[in-house]
Amino acid sequence: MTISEAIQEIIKLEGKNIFDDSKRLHAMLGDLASQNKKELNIFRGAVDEKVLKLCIDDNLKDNNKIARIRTLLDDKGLSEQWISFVIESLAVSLGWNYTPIEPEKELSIVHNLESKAKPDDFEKEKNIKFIAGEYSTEIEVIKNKLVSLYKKNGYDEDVQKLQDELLRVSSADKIKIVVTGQYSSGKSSIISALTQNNDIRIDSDITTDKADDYDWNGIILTDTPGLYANNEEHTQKAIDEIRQSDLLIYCITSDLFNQYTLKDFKKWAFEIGYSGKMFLVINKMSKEFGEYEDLVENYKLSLNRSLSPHSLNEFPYCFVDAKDYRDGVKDSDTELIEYSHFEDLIKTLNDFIDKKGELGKLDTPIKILKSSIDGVLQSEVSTDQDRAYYNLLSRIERRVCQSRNNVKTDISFCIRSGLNPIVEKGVELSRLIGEQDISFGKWELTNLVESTCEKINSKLQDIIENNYNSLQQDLQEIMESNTANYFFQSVNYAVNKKLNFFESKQSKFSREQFNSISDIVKNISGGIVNIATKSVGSASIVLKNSEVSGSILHNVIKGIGDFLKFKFKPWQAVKYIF
Amino acid sequence: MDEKQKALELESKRIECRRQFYDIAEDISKEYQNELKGFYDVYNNIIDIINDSRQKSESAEQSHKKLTQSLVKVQSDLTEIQNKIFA
Repeated sequence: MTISEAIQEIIKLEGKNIFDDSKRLHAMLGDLASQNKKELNIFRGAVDEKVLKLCIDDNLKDNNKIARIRTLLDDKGLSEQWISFVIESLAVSLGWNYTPIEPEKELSIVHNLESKAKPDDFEKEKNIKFIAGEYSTEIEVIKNKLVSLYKKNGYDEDVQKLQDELLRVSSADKIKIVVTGQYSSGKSSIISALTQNNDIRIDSDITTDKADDYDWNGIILTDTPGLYANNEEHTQKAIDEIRQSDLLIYCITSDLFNQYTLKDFKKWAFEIGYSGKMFLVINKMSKEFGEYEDLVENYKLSLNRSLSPHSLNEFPYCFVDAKDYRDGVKDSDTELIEYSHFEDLIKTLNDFIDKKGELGKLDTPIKILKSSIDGVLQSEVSTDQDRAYYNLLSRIERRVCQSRNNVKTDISFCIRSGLNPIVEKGVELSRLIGEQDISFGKWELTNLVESTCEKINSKLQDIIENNYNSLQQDLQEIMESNTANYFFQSVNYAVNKKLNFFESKQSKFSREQFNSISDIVKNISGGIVNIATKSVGSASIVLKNSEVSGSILHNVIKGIGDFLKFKFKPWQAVKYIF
Repeated sequence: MDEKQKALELESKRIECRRQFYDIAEDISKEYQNELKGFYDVYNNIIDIINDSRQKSESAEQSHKKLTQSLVKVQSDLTEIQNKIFA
C-alpha cells in the first residue's frame, strides 16, 4: 500500500481527527505501509505535529496549506525530491486541489504571506535537523517494537522502567553535556570559565562530590565527581551521569593520560561507542614551560601513540588553561585570555554542539533502550537452574513409575498366589471324582472363597501401604538431594519475595517451576515443600497429618484400604456350581 | 457302556471340576483387577502432571530463546542507527 493509500484507509477508519495524534497516525502508517520502508521513514520524519495541524486547518486554502508545509519541510532540510513526495502524498490522500508547481513559486506565496525570508545559510543545520527527525521516528518505531515484545513476553516491570527513563530524558529538551575526567583535571574550572560562574568551588583537592548542573546559553553542563579518586561512590555517580549525557567533555591535564584515564577514555570511546559524541580537553597547559605550538605538537604525538590504533583526529580537542581564562576575564587581561586559548575551546565546542548536539540527544534514548535490553538478556533463566528442575522432574517421574510398576506386579502376584487354594481345591476334588463320595457343597465353597479373599485383602493392604511409604521416603530423599538444594537456592528469592504487580519474567518463571514441583509433591505425599528463608538453599517437605490426608494418592490408598476391609466381597460375584 | 467310555466320562467330569474352580479363581481375579484399576490411574495422573510441567517449562524456554533472538536483533538495529548518527 502506498503512503497516500494508507492515509486514505486510516481516515476512513478514524476520521480526520487522527491528524491530532501524530504518534498514532505514524504507528498506523507503519502497519499499513510497511513495505515502503524508506518512504515511510522520510514521511514520518517530515510530517510532524505542525504539518499535521496545517493539513486540517479549515481556514487555509489548499495552496496556502501546501506552501506553508513546503516551508516547514524545507526548514527541516528535506531535499526537493522528498518535499514533493510528501506534499503529493498528503494532497492525494486529502483530496487537495494540487498541481505541482515550481517550488520557487510556492515559496514566494509564503514569503508574501508572512514577509519572512527563507534562511539560506543554514543548510547544514537544516540537514542535521531533518536527519534527527528521521532517526527520531526510527527510534520511536523500535521502541514500540521493544515495548510490544516485552509486553508479549511478560516483562511488564521492564516496560514501566523503560518508559519512565525515556520520559525523563525526553522531558529534558536541553542538550546535556557531561564534563568528566580524572579528579583535579580542572572540570569545574572549565565549567566556571564557560558559564562565567565564579561560585563554582575550585580547589586542587577533591572538591566535587556530587553531580551539579549549570546553564550555559540554554545547554546543560554537568559537573561530575572525578574518576579514580579511590572513591567508588564518586566514580559511580560520574558513570551514571555519563550514561545520561548527550555529549561528553573528557578532561585531562597536560600530564596527558595515565594508565587509568587512558583505559577509561578508551572504554567510553571505543567499547561503549561514545566516540562520536566525545570532546577531549587538555587543561592546565600553563603549568608547562615552552612555546604553546611546540607543546601542542609534542602532546599530539604522545596522544596519538596512546590512542593507537585510533587517533586524536577522531575527536574534537583543545589544549587550554581554564584558570588563566577565568583570571584573564576577571582582570580584563586580554593577553592572559589569549594565552589560555580558551576562546578556541568555546568556538570548537560551539561547532561541535551545532554538529552533534541534536544527534547526540538521539543517542541518549538509544543507550537507554540498549541498556534495558541488556538487563532483560541478563535475566535469562540460568540453564543450570533449568537442568536442576528437569533433573528433579525426571527423578520424581522415574520413582513414581517404578512405584506404580512394583505395586502392580506385587498386587498381581498376591492375587494369583492368593487364589491358589481355590484352584488346588478343584484339583483335589477332581481327583476324588469316581474314587469316593464327595461332600463339598455351597457352604464349603463359600467358606473357602471368603477365607481366601480375606487373606488376599489383608496382604493387598500391606502391599499398597508399604509401596506408598517407600515412595514417600524416596521423595523425601529426592527433595533433600544436592540437585534439589541447588534448585531451591536458585528459586529462593522469587518464591519468598513479596509479590508485586509487575513481576519480572525471570522471577515468574522461577516461581512457576517451584510451584510445579510443589504441586507434584503435594499430589504424591500431601506434604508442602518449604524453602527455609534463613538458611538459603535448604528445602524440606513439611508433612503434617492434616496435610498428608489431603494427598490424592494417600486418599486413594486409604479408600482402597477401607474398601478391601469392609466392602469388597469378590466372592459375591462367584457363580456357584453346586 | 464299555470301560473306555466310562473312563472318558470320568476324566471329563474331573476336568470340568477343575475348570469350574479355576473359573471361580479367574472371576475373583478379574474382580480384583477391575476394582484396583482406579488405583493405578492415580499414579498415571501424577506422571501426566510431571510431563505437563516439563512441557510447559520447555515451551517457556523456547519462547525465551525466541525473545532473546528478537532482542539481539533490536539491539543491532539500534547500533546501526548509532553508527549512522555519528558517521
